Amino acid sequence: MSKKIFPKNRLLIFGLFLLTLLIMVSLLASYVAPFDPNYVEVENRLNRPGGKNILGTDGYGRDIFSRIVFGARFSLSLAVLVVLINLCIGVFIGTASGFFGGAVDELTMRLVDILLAFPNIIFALLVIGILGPSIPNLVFALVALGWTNYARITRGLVLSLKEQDFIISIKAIGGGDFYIITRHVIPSIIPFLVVLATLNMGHMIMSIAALSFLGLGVQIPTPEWGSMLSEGKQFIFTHPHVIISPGLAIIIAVFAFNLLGDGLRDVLDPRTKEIIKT
Amino acid sequence: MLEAVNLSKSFYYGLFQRNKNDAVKNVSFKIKKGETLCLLGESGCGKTTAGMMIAGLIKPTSGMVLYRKENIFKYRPKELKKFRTRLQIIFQDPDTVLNPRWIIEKSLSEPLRIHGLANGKESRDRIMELIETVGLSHEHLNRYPFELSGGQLQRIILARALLLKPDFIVADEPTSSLDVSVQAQILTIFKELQKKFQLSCLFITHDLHVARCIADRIAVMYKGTMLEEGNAEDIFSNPVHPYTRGLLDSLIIPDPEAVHPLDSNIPITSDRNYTGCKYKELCDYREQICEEKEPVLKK
Repeated sequence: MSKKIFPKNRLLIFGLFLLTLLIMVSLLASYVAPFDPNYVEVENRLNRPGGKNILGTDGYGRDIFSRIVFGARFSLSLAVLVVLINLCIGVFIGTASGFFGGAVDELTMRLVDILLAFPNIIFALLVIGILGPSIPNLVFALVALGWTNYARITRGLVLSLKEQDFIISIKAIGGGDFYIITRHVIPSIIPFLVVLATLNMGHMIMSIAALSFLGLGVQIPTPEWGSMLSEGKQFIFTHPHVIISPGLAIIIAVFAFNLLGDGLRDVLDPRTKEIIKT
Repeated sequence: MLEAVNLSKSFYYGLFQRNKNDAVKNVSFKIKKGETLCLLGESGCGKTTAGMMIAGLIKPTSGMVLYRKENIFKYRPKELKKFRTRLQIIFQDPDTVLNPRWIIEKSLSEPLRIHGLANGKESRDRIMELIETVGLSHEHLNRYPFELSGGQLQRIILARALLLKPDFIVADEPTSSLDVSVQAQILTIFKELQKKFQLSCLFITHDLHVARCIADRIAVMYKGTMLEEGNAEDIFSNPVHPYTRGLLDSLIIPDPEAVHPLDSNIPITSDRNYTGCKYKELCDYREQICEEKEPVLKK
């Protein structure tokens, strides 16, 4: 199946390629980076790109390319972590309220309604403002609201699924609720969740970078794209390369996830699937 | 063997559940071992709801279903699981009854896996045996549901229903989404299997030809109530209720002069909350009493 589908979707391939590249770079950061990302060399500060330092150096003389390479680790792994936690909480709550309905459903959905009334980033600011800036608090702040989206979409999918004949027929055969949920309901909604999570990854990378930029996420001098932007903002007019490179890194990462998400959606959509298969 | 006693189901809807819809009202019947009762009626008359209650998939508002003299809605979970192996239901649309992401073999072996009855070779042997009984072969096992036709799928579903060796089948219009030639095949297989496995059956249909072909006894439903019940031959040769007579007259026979269809100008109303007989608007024998009292079906 996959052999037939994938070559038809060039954007998906390109997104996959970009993403693989990013993941490889972040995994092999210590081999890819030519310098120690935290090595300060004051005499070489604010070097222009080219020469010994491919992307130049920042205000402390650190190699920007090396910092971006190591920063990929933080940005990607934090985003993956947040999305996975959101996904697990959201799917658990969404499935429970969609499948069983009743009071549990009413309660959780009203809670979701309330939480969705807060703008994401403002709520995260509030949480970190109270708890203090650190990586665990950053994750918590993004999870506190992030799961609601997954819960709501999962619930919708489960609601429409549980009325279908094949679920009812398994009930008639004697399959219990737990069996039906784990063997039929969740496997059937996984494709949708994969698309949702992939598209959400880009969003999370942006949120993490934004919070780090505001000094509320990953702290200086840890190499992270958002905090690099923050450190470089004073040189924006005199030495723009300091801020352009991490900015581009963020754009490329978000772009890669969005391409992948869109591509996956096309592939997993049953309507396009039928056409491609035949 | 199976008995429905004053089975009723009302659905409540609207703001504060103020509106009530009696989908099924006071339906009673008995089905003996090896017998087929055909529940006959037009769309929306409550026959599917009745079937779902018999299968224990919908809880009745009042009344009960007795299987071997035990109320199935009083079963403990373990007994209910056991009951699920004794009674199987076949749905109307075969395209939607199997998990679309599973190959046929996986769906077929599922009942055995759920009940821990057989696995590995034993399970495969039993599936093979049944799949040949319904006229298919092992090459169909590795396909996905969308690769098979409706008739083939309905055979698969028949095979799956029989896998647990049930003694009762609820068949909810199993042929109505198939074209006529395939309908005949499925009905023939169904009858053969019924004889072979000594199955009792509640067969739900709106199709008089199908009912005539399969039923030992027939119960006619209209707007949630049962109008008439009796042996199939009696109903066909000597219908008592005017609605049944109208239904039989609407059978299309190759003589244009002889056709007296039911008056189709009167819409099927979903409002079932009026007094008197439900059939009064269409009935040729209407009297004053029809407006006041609802008739009761007597044995």
